[in-house]
Amino acid sequence: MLALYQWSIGIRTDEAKYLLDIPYPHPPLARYLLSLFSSPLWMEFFFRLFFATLIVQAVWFFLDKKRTAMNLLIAAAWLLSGSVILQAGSIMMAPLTAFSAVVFLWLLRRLSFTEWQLMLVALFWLASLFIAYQAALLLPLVLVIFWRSRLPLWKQCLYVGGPVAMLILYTLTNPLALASMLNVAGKDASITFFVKIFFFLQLFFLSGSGVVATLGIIGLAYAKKWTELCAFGLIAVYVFFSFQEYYGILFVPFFIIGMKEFLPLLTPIVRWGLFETLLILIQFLPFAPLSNTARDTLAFQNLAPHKDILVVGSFGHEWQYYSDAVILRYSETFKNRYDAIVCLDTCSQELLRGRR
Amino acid sequence: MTFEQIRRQPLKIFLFVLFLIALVLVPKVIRLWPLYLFSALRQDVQHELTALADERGWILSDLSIKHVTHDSVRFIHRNHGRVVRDSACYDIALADSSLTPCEK
Repeated sequence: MLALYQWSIGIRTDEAKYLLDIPYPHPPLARYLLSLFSSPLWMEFFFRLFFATLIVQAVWFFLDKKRTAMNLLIAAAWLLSGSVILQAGSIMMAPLTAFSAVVFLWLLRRLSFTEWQLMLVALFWLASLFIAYQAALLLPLVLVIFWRSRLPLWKQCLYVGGPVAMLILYTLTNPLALASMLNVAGKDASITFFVKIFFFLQLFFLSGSGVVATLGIIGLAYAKKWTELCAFGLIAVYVFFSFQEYYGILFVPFFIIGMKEFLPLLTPIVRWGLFETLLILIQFLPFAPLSNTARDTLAFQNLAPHKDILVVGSFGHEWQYYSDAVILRYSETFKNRYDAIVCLDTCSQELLRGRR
Repeated sequence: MTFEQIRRQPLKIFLFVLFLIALVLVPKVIRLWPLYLFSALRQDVQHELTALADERGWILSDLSIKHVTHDSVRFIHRNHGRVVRDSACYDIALADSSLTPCEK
């Protein structure tokens, strides 16, 4: 259902970046693997199914072997959180980073590791960083996992710092990614502080369907989970300054950890009341319209791969994904020939003459 | 080295993985290093690539900078898409903005 919902919306520009292995904004691990298999259009649904399954099955990391009634509530809190429902089937890096957060939060509860196990944790940390830059926000969790291990400090520095150093090295090989980060950083400069606060709080409560978000944060503060709060704080600051709706899923693993601390304090009748509230709140989630301009426009074009389509106006990478022909960008100095034209802005008669 | 010996040295395995990654990345960084050191060169490269992309209708993310010197920029142009297409290598001379094909 989650994959089907996202598939109905179609590929968005950020998803197209990963499916087409476009070298920004994120490091190459996940997008390279996706691009190897993205050629047939039907693979889109398979990827969505994979991402949705990964997020849904992540619930097992939160459940205890005992206390089955509580497990049902925790599972419901995860599966009925707004961001999980709205994003689980999206082909984005945020769900993958959320999954990394789930794993690190689970590892944080383990008491002891062998060095071999810690090496595997370090490799997972390396992979998380090379999937998405935002995984760096999970650094407090990783630091504490290794700090508690009592390895010599120099080994801890290598296991934690080595992957970060490799990420910095990778970033230097990709000046376009650096430039796009700087562009994004300045993008929201005109938005006032209070508007940013409003957007942030809206996303904060939406991501946890109101109830999970509120109880999660109260639970984290009540249980004095400072490491988790520190990582959550980093994520919150990041989301505040570089706001995107799909970052909401990064909050949810922390909400669930907080809820696990808070739920035992409530009476069973209140807990079940929360469960029913979650079920009711689902209908108020802002589900996206099931239309996609690029997909709907290009569905009937039968241009060969060596042909050119000129797009007038601002457009995203989903046009490159859905088109078999080459997508060209119109500008005042553009003089090349083209075989078809798409007018997202007003097209001059000169451009339209003799074209379809 | 036996499997048992390898299994007892997790740090060496980890460092080997980092070494392999660095082996791939460091030469690329060296070829792009002037771009980070000289802001004037950075602006020239940005101007040349933007102007070229505007002239040919290219999307900037289809360009991948491979080598930068004070005289020229080498980049690869590849139309991203589900259909696999050949990429093309070009050199831009910063002095006169001339474009010449190169071998990848």
